[in-house]
Amino acid sequence: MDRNQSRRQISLMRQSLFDQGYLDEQFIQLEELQDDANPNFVEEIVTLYYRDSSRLISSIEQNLERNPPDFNKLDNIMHQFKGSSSSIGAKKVKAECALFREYCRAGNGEGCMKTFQQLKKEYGTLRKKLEAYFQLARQAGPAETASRPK
Amino acid sequence: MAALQTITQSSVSTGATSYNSCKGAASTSASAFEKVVPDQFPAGLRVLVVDDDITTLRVLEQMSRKCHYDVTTCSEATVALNLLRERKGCFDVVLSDVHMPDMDGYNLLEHVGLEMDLPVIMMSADGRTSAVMRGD
Repeated sequence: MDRNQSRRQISLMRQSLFDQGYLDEQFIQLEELQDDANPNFVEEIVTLYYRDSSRLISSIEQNLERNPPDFNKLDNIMHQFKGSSSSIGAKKVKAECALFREYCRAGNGEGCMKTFQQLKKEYGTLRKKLEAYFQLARQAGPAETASRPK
Repeated sequence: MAALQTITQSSVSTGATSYNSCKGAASTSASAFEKVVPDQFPAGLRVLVVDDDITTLRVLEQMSRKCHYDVTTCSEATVALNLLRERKGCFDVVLSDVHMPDMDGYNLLEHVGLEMDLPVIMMSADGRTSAVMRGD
């Protein structure tokens, strides 16, 4: 694949992540923070997020197994997870977090469980998409990760 | 007209630093000179960022660097408080998350306000103003 084709593909991939609602403006903030001193900043943050948030996912899983679940505790953990997800612009994940918290406040265990399944799905999908995006960007060269739509 | 700001110049270094950068400050504070820096302010502003979420913390650190602040990060409120106590005069402002596991952000605010008289800016993923206004 020649360079121009690569660039176009990366740009399209990136745009579709926004168009399909996977990412929000916070991701653009991350791109703007990337510079020569921190050329892989966006990928670093995303990697950090997935590494760190896995413990929160496990914690929620454990707490959901309790009968009855401690909704207050679940809400607190989810607040943390939502905050973390917000910092990388994970739009769909964030939406599921908000829904989960609504169910917590309503004391609806089943609602929580269903939402959590959906959350994990979105979390996994985003991870795969971003991995593919970063891989392509790396192949094409460092300049591509900060490309903006025209 | 923009207000002129005076800052005590101890160690102005761009980039994130660990606690060591403040070592010199205590001994040089007596001989520290005051400098009027209307153009540069707030470059070199010594910020302590406290947030238990390491992803958010890393983002805040980078944002601070881009603003040419002298930034120190901390993921635990109790550690932050000890740092502030040990290195009095080493920071200009504290940026703190509201919800933290080891100490509530408001608790930190209270201590910092009483002991160090430093400005504390509260941050919350909870977008409601009420969540941060409680700090009043």
